[in-house]
Amino acid sequence: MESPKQHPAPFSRELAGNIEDFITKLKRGELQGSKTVALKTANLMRHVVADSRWNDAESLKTIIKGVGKRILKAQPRELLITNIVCRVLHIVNEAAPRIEDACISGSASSTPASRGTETPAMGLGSTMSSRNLADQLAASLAREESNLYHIKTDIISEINEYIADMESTEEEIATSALDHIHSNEIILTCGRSRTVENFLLTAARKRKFQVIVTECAPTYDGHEQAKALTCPNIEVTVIPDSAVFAIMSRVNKVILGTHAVMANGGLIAASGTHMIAAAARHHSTQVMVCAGLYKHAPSFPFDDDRLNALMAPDAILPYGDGHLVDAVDVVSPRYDYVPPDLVDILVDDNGGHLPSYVYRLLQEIYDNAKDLAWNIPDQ
Amino acid sequence: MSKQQSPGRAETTAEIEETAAASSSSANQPVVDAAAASKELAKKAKEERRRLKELELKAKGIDISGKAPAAKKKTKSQQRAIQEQQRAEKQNKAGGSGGLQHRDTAGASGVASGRESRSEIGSQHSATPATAAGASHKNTPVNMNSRVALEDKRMHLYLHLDFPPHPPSSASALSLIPTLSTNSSAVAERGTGDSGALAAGIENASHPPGPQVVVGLSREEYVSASTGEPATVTVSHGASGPVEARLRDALAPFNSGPGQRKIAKPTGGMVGIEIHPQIKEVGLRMGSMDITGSNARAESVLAAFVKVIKDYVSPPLTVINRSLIQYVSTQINFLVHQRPMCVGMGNVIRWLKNEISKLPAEIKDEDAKRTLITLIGDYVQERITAAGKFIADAGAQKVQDGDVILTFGASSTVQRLLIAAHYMGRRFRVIVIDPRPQAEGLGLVRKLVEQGFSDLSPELESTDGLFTIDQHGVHGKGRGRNGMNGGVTYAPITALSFLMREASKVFLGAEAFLANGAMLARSGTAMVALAAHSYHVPVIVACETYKFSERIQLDAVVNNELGVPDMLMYKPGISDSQPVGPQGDKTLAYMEYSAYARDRYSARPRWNNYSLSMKGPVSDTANAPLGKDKGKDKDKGKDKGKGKGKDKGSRGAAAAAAGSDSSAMAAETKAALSLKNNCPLSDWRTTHNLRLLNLTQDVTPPEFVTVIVTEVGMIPTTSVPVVLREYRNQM
Repeated sequence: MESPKQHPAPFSRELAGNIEDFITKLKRGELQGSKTVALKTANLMRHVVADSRWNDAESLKTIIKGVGKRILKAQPRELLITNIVCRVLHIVNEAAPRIEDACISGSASSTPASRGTETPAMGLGSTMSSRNLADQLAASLAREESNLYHIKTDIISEINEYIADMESTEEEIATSALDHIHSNEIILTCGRSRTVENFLLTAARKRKFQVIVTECAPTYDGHEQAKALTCPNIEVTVIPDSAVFAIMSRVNKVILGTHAVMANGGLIAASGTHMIAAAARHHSTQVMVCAGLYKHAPSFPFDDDRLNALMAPDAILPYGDGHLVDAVDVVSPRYDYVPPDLVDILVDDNGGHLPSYVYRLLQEIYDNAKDLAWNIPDQ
Repeated sequence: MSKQQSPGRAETTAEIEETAAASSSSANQPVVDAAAASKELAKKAKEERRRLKELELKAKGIDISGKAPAAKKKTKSQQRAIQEQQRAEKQNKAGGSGGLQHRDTAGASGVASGRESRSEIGSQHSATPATAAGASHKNTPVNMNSRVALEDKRMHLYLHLDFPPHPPSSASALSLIPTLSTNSSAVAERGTGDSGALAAGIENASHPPGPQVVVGLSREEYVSASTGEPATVTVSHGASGPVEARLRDALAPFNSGPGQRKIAKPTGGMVGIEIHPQIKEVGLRMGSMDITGSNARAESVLAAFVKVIKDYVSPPLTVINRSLIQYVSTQINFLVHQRPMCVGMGNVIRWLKNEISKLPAEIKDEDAKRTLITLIGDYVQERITAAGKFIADAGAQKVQDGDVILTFGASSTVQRLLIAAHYMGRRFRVIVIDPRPQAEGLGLVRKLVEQGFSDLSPELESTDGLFTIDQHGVHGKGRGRNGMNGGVTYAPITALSFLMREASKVFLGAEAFLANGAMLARSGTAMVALAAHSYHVPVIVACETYKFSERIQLDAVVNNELGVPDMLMYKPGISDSQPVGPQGDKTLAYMEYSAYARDRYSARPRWNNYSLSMKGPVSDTANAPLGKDKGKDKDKGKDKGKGKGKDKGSRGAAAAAAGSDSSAMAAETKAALSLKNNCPLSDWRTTHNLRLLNLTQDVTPPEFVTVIVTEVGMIPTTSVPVVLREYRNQM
């Protein structure tokens, strides 16, 4: 366990508290939902950039990576943390040349001056020159700091913009709703997704259609989704997860939300999604996935068990049934990995993509490999 | 003058014995101290339960999924009032009717005197949780003469309430039928009495007042009728909840859902023919999902028809093979009305009708009956019982050491197969995937655990070479992923693709195979088969050939049975240990609420009907006034009254009799409260544009099924029409 003391990294007390608080919440599982986690992480990163002491891009990146590592350790399966930290690193990288400039110009202006004062000081030791030296040093530092200050605000405003994008991502995605949903269509969706909710409700402003919502058994998120979707233009039908295959022959389109999108275009989505996508593929029904750009994870799913988590079993087999609970393994995974070949189209803030295009998209969102390696565990 | 009829009464042997015990112990003190009585009752109930448990363990056979019915709560005073009423009714009947009473058995008459004296205890007994005797009731077709064992007290209620003191005019009775078939909410709002009248409606529609030929009485019944023995009818007015629940269940197919099923009106023109009590029992138990599963249904129907045929007396100037077929059709109409037939049952009935029609015209009644009963016995033995055994043995051969068997739901055939493999000494893991909302797989899990499947874990871990799963396991993992190493794994269907990677074989049960090789089975089976197909795991289906059907169905929507939609709105056992919903702080709010509400629990007996075994929702549904605001009227009158009664009298008895320690109680409370807190869909009936659809079947494409294990061998799906043709030729 890394404790904050091992990091001589200069955090203000407030920032250190914030980090600890966030870590605790992650560990307790209090932060659920990809967007919540993403926004909280981005806010924390903004705080880190603003409140920590750094002189150049490298040190800033080191600080960010350090904090990112600590957060990730609290909840190693949370892909969104990686996404956000990588994105912030990307923002810093973009600002890096300016930081270098600031440092160079700062040192360039200070170096001749210091040299100038140094020589007489060494030679004559006059008090006048030493006062000059102090003044000049202070001036150059101030210049440097003001430069850095500007860059810092730049970075922060970039992060702010990113956060704003994240917040509006559902609306952005929903703008393409009418391109995808036709009147009188039957659409199947699963679980609770604000993105899908927005998408369907936006389409329902113009068109009338039917939505089938599966329950997503141990969490029953589908119930809330169904309730949220109920509006005059949408006829909502809730079905049990087991009836998906039976009903699929009547479905025109499957629109899914997801927790994260992997670099190969595969999904980490609510458990049960894989079978829905597979049933859709069997019936040659199009599967559309709505996911904001921030959900695109820059890693490949080599071992999808690493990306999954098991939930408490008592939603399936109540602890009251003690004898049985002892004797039986109850499995309740939180996520499913959906391979990219079951996904027909991914819709993000900028429009639709094929799953095979995701890797290219990632190069635009995040930086190249050298900065992505930060999250690899030490051992 | 219309004849007063008391219905065919059916009871458990257990009940009778208990009755005798009760009458001997407490007949001398008619007014018993409430506390003492309740204690005594509790003790008795416990004993009885233990005994029944033993019986249940002994009974290896068809799983009728013995549901432990919810406890009925009644205040002492209410009970007494009811008893008074009953007594009055009894006297009325004994004095006034002088008509026929039929009694199912001669054996029961021996207890009749005891029964009278026990009336007090008897109806109190209905307040104790009815036993889990359902499971001990084995539908053995062999012993057809044995006493009809109807354990379920609530069924009792049905049978008795069919016969109101004043038979309603046929007009009013008929007017009830549309209500029945269209508007279930209206039905559920009626009280107990009305529900009885409703059931009577079905009865009387085909049973107008007036003199008529009485059919369906056994010899004993005639005897008891002629001796004019006083009527010994025990009307057990239970709490309204379970009755309504049963009624709702019985009405499952009629529930207003999308794509409402059209059911033939019962007993079209069959005036003057009544429904045999045995058929009534079976029908109602099927309707209330007490008897589920193709095999259980087919067997119980055949067993009932043995009784029907035995009791049948052909009207004068008729030929038995004509009149009987008409009579049988009427009985079948009733059954279909209760719950649509499954394919196996349909086949069985078609076969029976065919056999009846094949009887020679000049045959004597007695000979015809004997022939038919023998034929039925043979059919059950050959096509169901022996076939099931053969399938279990043959299928078990396919289980190898180290296999990870995945199964879905609970199929009686697969259960037998797994247990057979276990007895053969095979060591394998079983993964049971369960669909919503029935959770029948839990029953299978229980059975497997009882059989010692879960004790496998130490051997699995041992490295002595006994258990080398690595050689067999598809993924070469001795232990399951995530450290799972037990013999039995249980998971919801959403975990399907997560667990399918571990599986090395999939065993499924089917409701039917269609002529195109497609498999009709419980909803979700197609998904399991699809998952297995995509993970290249062989799918082995255990299915008797009597379930093969000439029908062809391309998808599941064209023809399906709708379950009760309200089942979907409940979320069983939502935990407070896991964050509920997207906001983490909801957890806290929930816990606070439950802590607060736990104090109020004692005043909320209606939750007692909620059982953790996921059957609770039904009874709760029944208690909830449909289409109304749930909360208001509950909190005001009803619950207070009930709560008071509970606190005073029957509380201790109920608690003890339910055998529930406080932790179970707390868990129940928690589940119940989470139910209330976490059911966004609870007002779905009043929400515009929101519907719940509970499909119960789906059609699995033939290409997903690797092999079908039948009693004629292991065949591919393409051979289904071949087998069908063989049997058609035989017919």
